[in-house]
Amino acid sequence: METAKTASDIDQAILKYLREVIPWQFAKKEIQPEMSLQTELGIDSLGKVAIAFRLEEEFGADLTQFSGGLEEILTVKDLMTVAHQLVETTS
Amino acid sequence: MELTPIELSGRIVDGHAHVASTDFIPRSFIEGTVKNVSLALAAQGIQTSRDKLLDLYLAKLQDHDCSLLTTEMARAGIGQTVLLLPDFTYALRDAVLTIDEMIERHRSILEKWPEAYRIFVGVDPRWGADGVALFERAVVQYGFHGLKLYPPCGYSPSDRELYPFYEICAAHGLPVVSHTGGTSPALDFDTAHPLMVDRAARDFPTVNFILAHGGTTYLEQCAMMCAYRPNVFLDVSAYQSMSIQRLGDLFARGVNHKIIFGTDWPVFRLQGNQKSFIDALLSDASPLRQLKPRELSAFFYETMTRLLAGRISSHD
Repeated sequence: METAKTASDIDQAILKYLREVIPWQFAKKEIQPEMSLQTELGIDSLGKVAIAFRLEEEFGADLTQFSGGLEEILTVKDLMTVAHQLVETTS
Repeated sequence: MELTPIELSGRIVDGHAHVASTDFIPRSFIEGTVKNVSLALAAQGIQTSRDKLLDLYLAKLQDHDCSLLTTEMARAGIGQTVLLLPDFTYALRDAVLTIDEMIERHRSILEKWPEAYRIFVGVDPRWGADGVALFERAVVQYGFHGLKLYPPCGYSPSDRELYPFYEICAAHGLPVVSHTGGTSPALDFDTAHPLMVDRAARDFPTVNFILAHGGTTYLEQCAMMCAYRPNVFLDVSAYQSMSIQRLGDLFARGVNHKIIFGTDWPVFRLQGNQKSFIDALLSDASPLRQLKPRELSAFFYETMTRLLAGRISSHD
């Protein structure tokens, strides 16, 4: 039986996806919500697309359909907020 | 003392952008790019359909009249953007418009926002005399501001067939932007080396040549060209594809008076918006924080403005 995904599950998953795509130069950094994906974590468009597809695989939430567009997801907090919204509307 | 985002606001000139429209970029070009993205994702264990990925990229190329870009510019403090129209129509035969029709559409954009945009147009030299006439009409009648070359289409920027275009640029005081470095796998890479510009730059010393993406693939070669060839400049567009620290390497070469800001809109739209790209350059992590105010203003607007101001007004 599939258990319901909690907010904590989503946050943990996002952190896991982020660690997978952060380039080695940024890898030692502790990830904080206010961090810029681009300048502080070195995540480029490929990294964002990878996170979007991971989220869809695991939670069925399609980040690419976010009305603001991937370009408006600029910080870790943005990413988590949008992921929560999408998972909520999907489930 | 440093220039703040507020002091820069409205003065920034984006020296390298394109109209975000599938009307001007052939589908084969985009499909080639998507193929590389798909391979990179697969290497991370992410399997996705190429169609879905393609749709994601095509969705970012629907700003056909620059309405969205104009809004993005205002939000980012960009006062003027140079729109580059490369001619892919000779090399890639699946373009939806002819280069003539594309030029007309860019003319409409310029008429709609005459202060916000400057247009550099390219015509593949293999179109022969018709192409030269087309370029001259765009300059003289439509008031376009420069020549855009895309050597990966299969020609050298020093090809003699381009010299009639350079004669027009010399006569009208127009700069030339020439692509360097990687691009869609639908095109050639061997003609994308910056040193291929050198012969033309020597033969046309009054024409200013800008090496596009000069801070990325061929940073060393582009910096050398800027240091030793007086009429060669570079733009940093595509800096979003690398660590921002690499710009520090570029700005340490003593050619800061030759370096031009550019975003390459809409290529990095999935990564961020125009404001975020400027914020990144002005962030604490950016090597630009070490620049003197004069260097910063030269980079963000003065150098490109000076090159554009060389235009000898002649259009009807």
